[in-house]
Amino acid sequence: MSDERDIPRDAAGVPSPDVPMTPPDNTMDDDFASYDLDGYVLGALADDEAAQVRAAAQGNSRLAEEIERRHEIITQLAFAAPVHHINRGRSAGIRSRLVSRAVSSREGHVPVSRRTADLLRPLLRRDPSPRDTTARGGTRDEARSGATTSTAASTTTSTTTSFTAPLDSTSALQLRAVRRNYRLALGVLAAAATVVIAWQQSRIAGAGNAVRSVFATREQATARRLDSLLVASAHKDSVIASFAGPNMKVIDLINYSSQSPLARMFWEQKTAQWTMYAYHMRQPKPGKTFQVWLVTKTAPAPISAGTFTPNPDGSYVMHAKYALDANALVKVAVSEEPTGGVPAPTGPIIIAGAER
Amino acid sequence: MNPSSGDQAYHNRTVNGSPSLDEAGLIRRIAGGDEHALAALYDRWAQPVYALVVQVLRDRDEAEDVVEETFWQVWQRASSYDVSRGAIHTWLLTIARSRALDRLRAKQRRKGESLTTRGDALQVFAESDPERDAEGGERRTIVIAAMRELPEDQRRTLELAYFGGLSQSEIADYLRQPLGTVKTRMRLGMQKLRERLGFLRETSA
Repeated sequence: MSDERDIPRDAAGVPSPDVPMTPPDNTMDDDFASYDLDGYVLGALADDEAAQVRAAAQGNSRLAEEIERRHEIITQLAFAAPVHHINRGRSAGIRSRLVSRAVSSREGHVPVSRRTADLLRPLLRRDPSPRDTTARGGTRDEARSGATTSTAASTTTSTTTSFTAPLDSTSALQLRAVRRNYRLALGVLAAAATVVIAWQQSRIAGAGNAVRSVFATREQATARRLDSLLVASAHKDSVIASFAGPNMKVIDLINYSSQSPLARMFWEQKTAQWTMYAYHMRQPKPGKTFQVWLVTKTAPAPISAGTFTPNPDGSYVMHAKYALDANALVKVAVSEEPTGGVPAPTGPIIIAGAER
Repeated sequence: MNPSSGDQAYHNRTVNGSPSLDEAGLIRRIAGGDEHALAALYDRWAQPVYALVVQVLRDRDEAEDVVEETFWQVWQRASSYDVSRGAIHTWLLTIARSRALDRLRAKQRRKGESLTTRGDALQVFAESDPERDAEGGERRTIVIAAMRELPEDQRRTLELAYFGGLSQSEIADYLRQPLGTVKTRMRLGMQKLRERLGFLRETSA
């Protein structure tokens, strides 16, 4: 952890509890000996004992500070728990839900921002990144290349050295020339070998880069897909959170003749969102449409919340946004009106209902 | 991936790539309704919180629920938290432990068990395993070393209380020792831990 850079270490640089750290401070132990503070911070006292410590701490800031101090010490034990790695995918889900719940609790149903998606990405990014892999591949290539060159050079030196053995003095000039030519030939051969090896390595590296590039592209595509799934999931979490929240009111709209519910309206007061799910609706008569009305205590006439025509199977989901005081709603109704809607209801009421 | 380095990277990761986060600043932002600050705090502390909760509950699915509850509680209570009180992670881990113990007690009430029935499963420091001990960073290594230095009876008392949520009376019953003996072991063990781990308080803010 980054905050562990100040941890005392022994001579070898290894963090060690044997290094004197904090002088033992037992004065507090004597001052508050009448209270079992250790049992208290561990939550291990009987109820009456714990109540005594709590009461004493309320009027004694030094005691309260000492409890806080011991609390911080005992909390260090949490770090000794065996390391269990949280599943990254599920952790991302928890994070996503937390963010959407936070957004919902702050301002109601709000779509998750791109920044949130960006925040999610680091949790799911695999290490090392393609760029890192490429970099390391390059380094390996460089190292391999260097090693080969070095081997070639060493071979050259070794071969050259073997020709420095004593020679017949009468042929010295000729031999010197031969040796010079031989050295030259070896130099040319070594250079040619180096060029060939470098060319081969460049081909191999090129192929490797192409493969890495394909994988990097695929990984980016996967990351984008994952991002979009997470955003969609967070959006659904947010909707569910708002549906389950305390500010949600539900209104059942029923048919007066059969008394069976045909529609249910969800009203999220905080965000003024209205969502109506209607089922088994007949089709409106030719030249007609269905119009939704909010009957309130405050407005002199019903307020139109929009018109709709059901799907062929009689279902329909209608969304509307209209701000209304929490206690102002009296009833929600659907009437059959001329196509395009009317400013005030004129036709028969098909379904209606009040808040449950 | 090497678990140790992976875990370290997990702990070190921050939203901005910065090596350290101003946790007090994060709490202030959370109190102000900034969900990104909550996400950043989660990134930094979800792993240690999860490890603690799994140790208490011994159930990964339930542990994930508790992790979410813990951070949600931070979101809800951040405005009443006094940042001068101490390290934020102390608060966070305390919430996590409390929620985990609440859930454990509820589960055991349903099953008609007592907390002491799982005492044997709580031997966190029973066997030394240098490779596992080194996982999770230096702080963990230090805390484990400090615990291992305690006499067995003191160490056992502390782990039963901290990870098992056992009261002193329950520990006395479980270990078949007088209550006074348990209290003494707890006091002596804690005294040694304060000496050994006191400096961690100063480096943890």
